Amino acid sequence: MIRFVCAAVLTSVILGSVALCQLLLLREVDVQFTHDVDDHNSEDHGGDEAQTYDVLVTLGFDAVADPFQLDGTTSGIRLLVRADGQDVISHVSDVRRGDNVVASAVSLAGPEVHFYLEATPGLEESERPCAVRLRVMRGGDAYADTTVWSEGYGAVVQREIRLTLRRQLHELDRGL
Amino acid sequence: MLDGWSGVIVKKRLFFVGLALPVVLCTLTAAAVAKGEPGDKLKIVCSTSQIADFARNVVGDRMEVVSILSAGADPHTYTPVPGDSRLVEGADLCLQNGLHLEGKNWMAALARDNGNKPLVTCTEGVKPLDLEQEGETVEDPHAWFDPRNAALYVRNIVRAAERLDPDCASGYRARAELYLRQLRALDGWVEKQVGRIAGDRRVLVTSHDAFNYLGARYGFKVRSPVGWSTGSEIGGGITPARRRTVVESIRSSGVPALFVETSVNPKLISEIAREAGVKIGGELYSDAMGEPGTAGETYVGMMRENTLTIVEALIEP
Repeated sequence: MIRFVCAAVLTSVILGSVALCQLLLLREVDVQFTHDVDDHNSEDHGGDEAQTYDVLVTLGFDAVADPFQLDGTTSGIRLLVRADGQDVISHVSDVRRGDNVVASAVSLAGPEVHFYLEATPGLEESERPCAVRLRVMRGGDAYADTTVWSEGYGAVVQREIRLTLRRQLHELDRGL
Repeated sequence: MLDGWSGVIVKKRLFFVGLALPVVLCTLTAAAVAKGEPGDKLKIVCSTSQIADFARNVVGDRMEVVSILSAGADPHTYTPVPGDSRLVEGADLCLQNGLHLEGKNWMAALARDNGNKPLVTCTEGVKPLDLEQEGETVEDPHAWFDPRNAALYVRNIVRAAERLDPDCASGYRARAELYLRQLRALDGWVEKQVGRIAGDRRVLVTSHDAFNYLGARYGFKVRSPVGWSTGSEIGGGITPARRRTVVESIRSSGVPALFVETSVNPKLISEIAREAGVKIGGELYSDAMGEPGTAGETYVGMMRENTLTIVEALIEP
């Protein structure tokens, strides 16, 4: 009889402990995420009202004087970026490979923005494909990041791009 | 008083005259009005077919573009005919190459003598190559053979078209941008094709000094027996010394082929080829482009065909 009672008590304690642990593990915990993940609120993308962003362009080639530009080698535009029809960057001096060209505080009404990008490689770039990276940033966060390529080796990089401005999330901290 | 039958005949004649007269008057009025209609296109008259091709690519169908020289004609030795004066008389703008390509400045004379027409020189801004000919330094007029200079021609034509017709300036600029992209692609393509020829085989021997710009751009040594002009100007015409130099140069360079030109008599170059023991590599478009309907009737076509002819003749077998 005593053995029976002991066994029953021991089993109850073990089972009860397991149940308690499960209960504790499954209880909702108020975890503060660094960024909201599942719920796309208006702070994560542009929303419909105009907000200001920085537009960064980085070239994978030297954009220098092009004798085939309409405005000639002295005043020809090396790098042109338009956002929703407005000139954002219109660079007439040479831009070297790896340089960042920045337009600050550009007013963009998202979430979708039409960009037009044009960059002219120098004739020395004729043996390789040419790429341009376009980023839209706000408060240190990237809202759009894309790379466009020339159609052929050394060709002018020229593309219209439709970008959705949404805060790009690179790290998630779910913690337990 | 008219008697019965005569009266009827006269009345019938008067009746038909009465019917016909308004029709004739209306037709004459319509013709007079149509002649002066504001819808008439502006007209550009060009000295050479290359310039006419550039102009068409800029103005499209907005203006009428004509060339005085036909395919295969030689601008150095050309003498204008009365029909050319009538052509220029109806022009709103004249375009010439300049740098004395038009022998004895025949285009400038036409523009001046037929209503002092505005004349634009397409080589304005070109950095000309100098040619030394028997102690004289002359400027080589064949600048269009470097596509980068062709781009300059196009820019000069755009500016002229904008001045002539400012309402359509944006259209001219848009067309010119597209055409300049084509010239850029052409330049890259020619460079790539010529890259197939070994450096020591890049010797271009032609009928006259038309290809120096091509040579400078793509790394050819250019030799020719005739001076810079096929005409009788400074440096023009073959000399025995020059011919000997060319034959020796060909023999010592081991160049595999010589080239004749569509606008120059091929006899001389064929004789030199026989003396030097080399073949004729093909026919090149030089001072004039091809006939309508041929591959060389446009500038891009001409450059493409010339490049392929040269590469196929000079490339290692």
